[in-house]
Amino acid sequence: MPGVRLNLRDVKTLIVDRDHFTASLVAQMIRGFGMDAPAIVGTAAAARDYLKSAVPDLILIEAILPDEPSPDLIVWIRHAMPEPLRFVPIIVLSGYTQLSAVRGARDAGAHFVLKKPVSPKALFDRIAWVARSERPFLETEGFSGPDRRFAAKDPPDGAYKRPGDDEKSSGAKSAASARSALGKGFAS
Amino acid sequence: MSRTVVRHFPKGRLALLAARDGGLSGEDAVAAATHNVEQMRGESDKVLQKTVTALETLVDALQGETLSDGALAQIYADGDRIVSLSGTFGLAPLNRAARSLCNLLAALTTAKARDASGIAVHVRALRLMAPGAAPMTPHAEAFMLEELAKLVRHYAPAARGPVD
Repeated sequence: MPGVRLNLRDVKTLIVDRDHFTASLVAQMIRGFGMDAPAIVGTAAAARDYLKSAVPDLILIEAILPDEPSPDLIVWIRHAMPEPLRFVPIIVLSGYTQLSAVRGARDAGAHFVLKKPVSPKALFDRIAWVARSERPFLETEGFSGPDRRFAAKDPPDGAYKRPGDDEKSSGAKSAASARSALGKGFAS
Repeated sequence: MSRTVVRHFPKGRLALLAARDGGLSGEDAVAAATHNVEQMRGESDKVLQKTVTALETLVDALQGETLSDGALAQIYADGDRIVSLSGTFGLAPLNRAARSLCNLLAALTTAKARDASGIAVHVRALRLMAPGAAPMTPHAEAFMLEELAKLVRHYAPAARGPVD
């Protein structure tokens, strides 16, 4: 997202990944973005325990967890947790051939699926998009999560915009990046 | 029948914090993150070598027996880690060989086959391309990757193999 400027200091992240080294690589990216050092857990059970006493601002979940399907964890967050945790942005990190994880994560209520290896630019773009967009959050009998029909629109005009974010950088250029992000994600 | 849909527009803490003054430009944030990741290259090389060793041990233990579900899952997890790390650090031939291994595992699963011989060939190729191995000529790398692709096509005729 050329021209985008974000203040991510004090942003708290939870990473759920059984592969500690891969998780630590993502953690280094997050530190580079200026965010707090993330909490890292290796199982869905550990994530549930963590979330009972902490409210992260962003959750990154590996698509395949050792103790339960990651969509189950996402559904639990979306349905059983109180606000604001229920609405927390969730990005799923999928492996090379875990294409079925994309649909499962989307239907469970994740915001995005990122295919590994995750590059710093791809991760920053998704975080920026989640932080700046006004994607509606829907609750129905069978679904709780960001609107899956959300079209590739420009980032919100005016909202979240600060002095110095000029029209050109936060409009046309960001829109192209956002469309690219959506195209690689699961929104239609 | 109509369904009740409740629509929210939550202003999350991430959005509120990100909109504060200060912070980093996208370019600076990505540059700092890339620098941090690059500091882990040496450690990644060691993890890659250990992962290939673990795969060799697992394949050797099979001794011609058919693959169990547990072995298949472990090989997939190891292969996926190699794809991720080699992709992160630009180890292109290793990355393509590891993706070929993952393609093979997917093809075996689809075909309900449990033949481990193709996996053993892939693991040998991973060793030859892993960090610390003697450098190969581009011609030798291309030849080896094409042979791996042939193995994948044996189980999944429509598969493209590790070609980008």
